[in-house]
Amino acid sequence: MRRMALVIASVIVMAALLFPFYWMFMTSIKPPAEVVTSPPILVTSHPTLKAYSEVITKLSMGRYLRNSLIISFSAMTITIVLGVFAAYGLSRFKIKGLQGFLLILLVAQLLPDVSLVLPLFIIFGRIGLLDRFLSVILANAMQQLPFVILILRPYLQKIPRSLEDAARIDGCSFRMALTRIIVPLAMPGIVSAAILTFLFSWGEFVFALTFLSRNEMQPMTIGIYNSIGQYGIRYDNLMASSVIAILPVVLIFVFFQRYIKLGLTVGGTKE
Amino acid sequence: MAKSAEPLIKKLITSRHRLSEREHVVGYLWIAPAFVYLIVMVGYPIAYNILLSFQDVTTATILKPSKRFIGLKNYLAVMTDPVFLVVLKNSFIFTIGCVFFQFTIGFALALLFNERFPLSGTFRGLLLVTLMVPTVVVSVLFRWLLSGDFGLVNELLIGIGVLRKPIAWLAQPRTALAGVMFANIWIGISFNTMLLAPALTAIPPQLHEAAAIDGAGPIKRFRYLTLPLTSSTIWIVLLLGFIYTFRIFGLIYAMTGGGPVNATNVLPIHAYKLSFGFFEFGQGAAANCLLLVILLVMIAAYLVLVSGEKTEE
Repeated sequence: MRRMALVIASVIVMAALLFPFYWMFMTSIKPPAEVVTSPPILVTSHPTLKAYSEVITKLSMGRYLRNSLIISFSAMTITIVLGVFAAYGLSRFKIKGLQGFLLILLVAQLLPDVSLVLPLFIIFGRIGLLDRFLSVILANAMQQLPFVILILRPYLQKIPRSLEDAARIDGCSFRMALTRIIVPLAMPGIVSAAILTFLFSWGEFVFALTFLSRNEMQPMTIGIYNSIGQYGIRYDNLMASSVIAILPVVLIFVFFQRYIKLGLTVGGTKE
Repeated sequence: MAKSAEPLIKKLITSRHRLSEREHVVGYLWIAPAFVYLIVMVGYPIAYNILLSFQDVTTATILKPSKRFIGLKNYLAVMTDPVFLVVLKNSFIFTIGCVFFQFTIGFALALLFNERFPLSGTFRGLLLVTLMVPTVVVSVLFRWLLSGDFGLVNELLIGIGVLRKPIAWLAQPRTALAGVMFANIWIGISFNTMLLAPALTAIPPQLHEAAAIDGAGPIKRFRYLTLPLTSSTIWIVLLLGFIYTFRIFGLIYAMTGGGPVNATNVLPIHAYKLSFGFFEFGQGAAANCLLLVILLVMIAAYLVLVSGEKTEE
């Protein structure tokens, strides 16, 4: 009886919390005449993909997505490589001032992106990086690097040191020990760090807004932002772009949910 | 047997020793790339931003290496502007309001999902999806939900008789801040639930059973058992919530751009617009520094709490 009540209560709560997603999807498959109505049409009887074809052909959603993919993958790669190196160094060796290094990471992780935009804009402007993917890639990698090192360190610490030493004694080169033993054992941590950095870059807004002024270079987040006012507000189109934009999020979520939770809980509270 | 093992053990010990001697240098080589990267991309820009805040930076001089020093003029200009007070007020209303509701609802959900019943794990996992959605998507989604022209929120409120006429939530100065807070609270609930849930799970169920046997009702058990046992986590979650909410830019920028008439203008947006809207880069840098000071105070408090938590363990 009590369990039944709990299930019902939580179903209601979840339905209310997730309803905006339903409404996003429903709006995106409605014919234009059914979008703005009173009373609202909760389930359309004429589903159509017209809004999707429109955002792909007229609003060049395809190009925005390609740009987002380039930026996110590059930022993820830089972050993970630097992050694994640093986390390995911090967990395996005696580092004087370890607490100091961890403190730097914790503070850097919490700094607002907005206060770095202006100085980076001027620095990138001087060295000719504005309107290049590299500007946003470097900025995204910077923003996630502290978080990634902090997530990965506990994973590398958990790998018994004797395992690595044994491999070295058995004639394993250092590089082999790293690629054959350490990286595979730390894989769950690396996967969750990679997923989170990819998703953060995927949704990043302020760096792209400021550093990339040319339409051909902008990622999907700016594409959606630009299309808000373009032809008056067409909510069916905006919602179609939104559904396309969260598709990778949903896919990653379905397949890697465990890793997301792992990464977020480690990164969120504990160093 | 024992004899033949001896040299091996010796070899093991010396090689171990060799490793640890080299370690000192090698360790720094491993961490160097990441920390050099952070110095170049975080440390230097922040130092540069502080420098800019004391300089006269215009569109003509922005890319020139040397700019004129003007002392505290940028700070004076920012702080004497009447808009600045509005911005500060908005920032604190937005942050404290959001944190309050996110935390309260998030805590309630954490308590709900802490009970064992079918689907509780699935639901808790499903909550995380709102955290992963790009904020600009949340912005356009809530622009649509809160729209004055047949937005769902209006239709719902009219339907149940709370409203007579639709309100253009985000277009009216009196309701716009509440509108952006509504969107941000929606994002933040799962963040709070996610961080609070482990603290609740860590309370041994025997404690609750014992208290129940002693005649403590659910409210008393919550007040005298759950709250004290989770208080350190609660403070950490509240402070983190404050830090993450105070620095929010994209969500509000894409929903209202800080308007109408500064109704949703918060400090990060104000600092950004000073630079990239009004091209007062020096003042933008000064506003950035003020934002950093406020956040660093909160970050310091957070760090003190976290380190206290660790020594307790």
